[in-house]
Order: sequence, then structure tokens, then C-alpha cells
Amino acid sequence: MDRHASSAELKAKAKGQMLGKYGTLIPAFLVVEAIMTMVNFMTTFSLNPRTMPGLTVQFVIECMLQLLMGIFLAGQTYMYLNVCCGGNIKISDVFYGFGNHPDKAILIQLFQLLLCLVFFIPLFIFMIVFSFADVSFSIMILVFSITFVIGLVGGTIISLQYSQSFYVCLDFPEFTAVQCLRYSREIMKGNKGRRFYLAVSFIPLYLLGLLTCGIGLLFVIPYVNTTSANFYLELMSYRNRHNQ
Amino acid sequence: MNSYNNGPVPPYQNNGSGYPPYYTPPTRHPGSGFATASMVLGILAVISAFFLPTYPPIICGGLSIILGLLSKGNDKAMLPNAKVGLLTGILGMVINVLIVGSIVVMIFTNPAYKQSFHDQLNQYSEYLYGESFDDMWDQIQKNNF
Repeated sequence: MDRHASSAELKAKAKGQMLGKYGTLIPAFLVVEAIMTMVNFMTTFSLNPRTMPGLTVQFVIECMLQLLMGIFLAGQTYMYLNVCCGGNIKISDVFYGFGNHPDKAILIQLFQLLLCLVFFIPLFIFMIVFSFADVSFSIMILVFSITFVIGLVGGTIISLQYSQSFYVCLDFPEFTAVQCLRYSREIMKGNKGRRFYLAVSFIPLYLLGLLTCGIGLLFVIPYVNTTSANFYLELMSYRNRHNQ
Repeated sequence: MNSYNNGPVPPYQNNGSGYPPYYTPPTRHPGSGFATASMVLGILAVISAFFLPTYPPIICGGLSIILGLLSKGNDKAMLPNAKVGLLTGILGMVINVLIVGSIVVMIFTNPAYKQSFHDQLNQYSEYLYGESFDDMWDQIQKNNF
């Protein structure tokens, strides 16, 4: 019987594909993290997050950095797809997005960010209202929890729906950013649960990585990314088999 | 090459001769490096749980578990070194939790240790902030309640 690969099969595949490539994957991950941390520090170190204008400017800068991260995400996606297909990888692959339609990567990231922010609007409204109004602590906690859960659930659904956008963008270079997002939503129909389960199954490994002062995360994050790339490849091969 | 019988020709001299190589060197499992690192870190976790409890066993144990799991690759079974690493890593972390837990329980149940801990806390607080922990605690309680 033809079925989707289980998360254990995807993980085993990823582990096998990564052996012998950690020497490139870990420095590549560190390069991206170092650049993003440096840019973040340089743009926000003079701001005072305790004041409302400082907090707002910091939030806007964080959103802009997310767009820059989109270009790096395109490069990382290219590198991890290469790992899955047995190709050669280089540390410079993480900069692939800068030379190949960076505008598309930025737009994909922008649309995802805006869609996620839509679900957090109730939380923002609540925070603005409660900063001026005098309300009891228990009501504040209750409303905060409800609006936060709405944002979290909505944001998770959106990120699951559009999780394949960068892979689609690389696989179909003729697609526009909106087409990539639409196609990702289409292929994720009926597969969001599987993707969610796959993401949740990495939580124990993430916690273990955090316990080791973050050293373990150097191994865990590339492993998670390779498994995600395998998920996309499996999804597409299943789709192709059934469309024929 | 001399005319003496030097034994069978090694496979690397055999290329293109038409004969299949008679010997293929054993291939190293690509995850064996990780498995060995996992075993070493696991043993370090157990040793450090006794001599340097709290952080070193957690770091070494956690890393040994992660490396042990990742060393498996696409295979179903784990390498022997990885198995040892995984077990010793878990053991080191468990021993660490037991030792640190028992120290905490001892401090808060034995009056002599409790008093000594309290004195040390006040001393450190005075050294760091200029006033004892008890005074700081009193001030916090006065301000908040």
C-alpha cells in the first residue's frame, strides 16, 4: 500500500544523509547566526526597550531583520535540499539567496510575517488598551492568555501552511512569491497534522540541546532542517506518484 | 617490480588488470566518529557526576545522547560505541540529579547544614551587595506587602 513516509523514516533518512557533512553544516549555521546577531545588536543597542517609542522601534527593526532572515532561509533551504539529494555543499551556499531572486525570498517572508501578525492583532490591541486602562490583575491575565493563545494557534497554522514556500521557490523558479505561497498551501492540504507532529517530535531534542548550553543545538538544528527538507521531497514524490 | 614472488598484488596495483580485487579494505561506518565521541562524553559525564556535579555532567551527558542518536545514520541498529555512549550519558545525568537532589534535601533537612548554608548566603550577599540576605529579604517584604 502506498503511504506517506513516517516521521521516524524521514528522521532516519536525514541522519544518514548528514553523516560526514556536519563539518560544513555547523559552520554554515554559525555564520548565519553570527551575522544575524551582529546586525541585530548594531541596530538595536542604542534603543531603550523600557520606553514605548524604543519598544516600537525595536519591534519594527526585528520585523525588518526577519525579512533579511528570509534571504538566508532561501540559502539554507538550497543547502539542505542539496544535502538530501546527495549533492556537494559549501558554507557559501547560505548566501545563495542573495544572488538568486532575493526579492522573492523577502516577499515570501513578508507575507508570512504579515499573516502571522494578523492573529496577534487582538493581543496588541489588548496591550495598548490595558496600558491606559486600570483593570484588575486577574482579568488582565485572563484576556492576555486568551489573546496570546489565539495568536499562537493562528500563527502555528499559518507557518504550517506556508512551511514549504521556500522549497517551492527553489523547485519552481518561474513561480512568483504569491504563487509559491499558494502552491505551498495547496500541497500542505491534509498534511499539516503530519508536519506539526514532526515539528513537535523534535522538542525533547531541542530541550536536550538547550541543557548543553546550546552546544547540542549546533547538531540538532541542522538535523531538524534536513528532516524538513526530506518532508518536502517526500511530499512532492508522493504527489507526483499519485498525479501520474 | 622484481622477479620474486611478493605475494598477491594489492588491489590498488590491480586497477585495469581485468581481475576483480581479491580484498576490499573494511569500510569505516560514517557515524563511527560520532559514536566514539558519544562514548567518551558519556564516560566523562559519569566521572564528572561524582567529582564535578551540577553542570559538567549535564553538558557531557546531553551531548553524548545527541551524538549517540545522530551516529546511527540510516541504520536500524546503533553502533556499540553509541550504545555505550547513550547509556553512560543517561546514567551520568541520572547520577548527577540524584547527587544534587540529595545535597539540596540534606541542606534543607539537617539543621546544622541549614544554618551553615544560611550563614554562607548572608556572607555572599554582604560581599556582593553590601547587606545580608536577611536584611534584603525583610526590605522586599516591607515594600511589597
